[in-house]
Amino acid sequence: MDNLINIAQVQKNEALLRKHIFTNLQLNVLKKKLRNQTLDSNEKTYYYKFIKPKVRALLAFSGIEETIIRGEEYILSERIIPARKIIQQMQKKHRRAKILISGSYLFNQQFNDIDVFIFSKYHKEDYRWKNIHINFLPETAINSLFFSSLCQISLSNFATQYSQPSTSPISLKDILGTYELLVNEILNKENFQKKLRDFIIGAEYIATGQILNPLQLYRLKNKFSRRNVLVLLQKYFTEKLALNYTKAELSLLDTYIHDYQKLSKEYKESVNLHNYIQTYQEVLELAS
Amino acid sequence: MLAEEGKKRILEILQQDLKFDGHFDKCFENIKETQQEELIIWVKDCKEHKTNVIQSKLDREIIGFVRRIGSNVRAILTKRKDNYFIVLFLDKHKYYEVEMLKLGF
Repeated sequence: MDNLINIAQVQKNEALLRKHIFTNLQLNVLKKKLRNQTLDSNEKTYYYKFIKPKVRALLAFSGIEETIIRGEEYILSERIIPARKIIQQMQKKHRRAKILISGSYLFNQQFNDIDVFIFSKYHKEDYRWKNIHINFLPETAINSLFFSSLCQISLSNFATQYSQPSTSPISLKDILGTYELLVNEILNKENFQKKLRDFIIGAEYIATGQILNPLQLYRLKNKFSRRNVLVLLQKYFTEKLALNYTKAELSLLDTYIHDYQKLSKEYKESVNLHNYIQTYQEVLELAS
Repeated sequence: MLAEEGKKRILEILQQDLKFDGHFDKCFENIKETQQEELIIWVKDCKEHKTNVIQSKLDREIIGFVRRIGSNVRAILTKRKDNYFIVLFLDKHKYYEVEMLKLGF
């Protein structure tokens, strides 16, 4: 619940809260809690017995529920109550954690598993519980393109702040790196779904400046789940790069083509290099 | 196979010194024996230029080889171009992702 209010809100309304809702001591404890400072045992008693119930009542009065729903128009109505229950169950297990449910479970009749994301300061292993896949992500992931995509159709126990980044969070080098690793994973016959997701989010952001929501991402990902995935990806990426970067920016590709041609003489069996060279040559041809 | 024995066999293949990074010992001893053998054969393939190679975006003189072992363990072997191998990293998937970013792959 403390994820739903922040210290700035309390400070802004301090006079009002002090006069009508909280005692001085209670307000100080609440601020301490919101600053993530450690509470002593007395303060904990105050917090859980008096402060938290008051905050809960205030939030209920203003129509703010403990579960925040984003993109409700895309969510299947019958999935909302079970998703809320999952968040409540997860909260019991991972107290004070920021928890979010997203993915095809919310908007598609057919789904493989339910994706729950828990943002944590600590490295923890992902795990499965029944058909729920619990993914632990570092709190820094909240600033990522992936999170900005994810939270657009989601239920969470915290206020997700989706905002269009003012500067590009992804560089040409970044997207080339993601593409190269994706191709490598496909060639190595690995599960490349996560890399494909990152690649599509990045490529679409470069092309349109928009961050796809999970439903748009799901539909686009499906287009690449065919046999000729490498050919499709090559065509898609070539167009995105050629149409969205200047020739000067794309000169970086010349450097990479040169490097990879040299490497492929030495590593003759490295088939990924041929894919990179061919893709980047096509980009340069299309751009010119 | 114990990690020390695995390291010894890898060093024999590469015939040079090598740093072992990540939770190498723990991960190596926790994977199946067949997977341990796969890892060693893969190192040999890397040396003999039989695997896919990727180049760092941070330092173009660094190349790397990546390998998935089982569902959750990953290996990264880095090398200076035309020169010596640098590090063999072995760890769980999450740490691998961080390491890949750090190396510019």
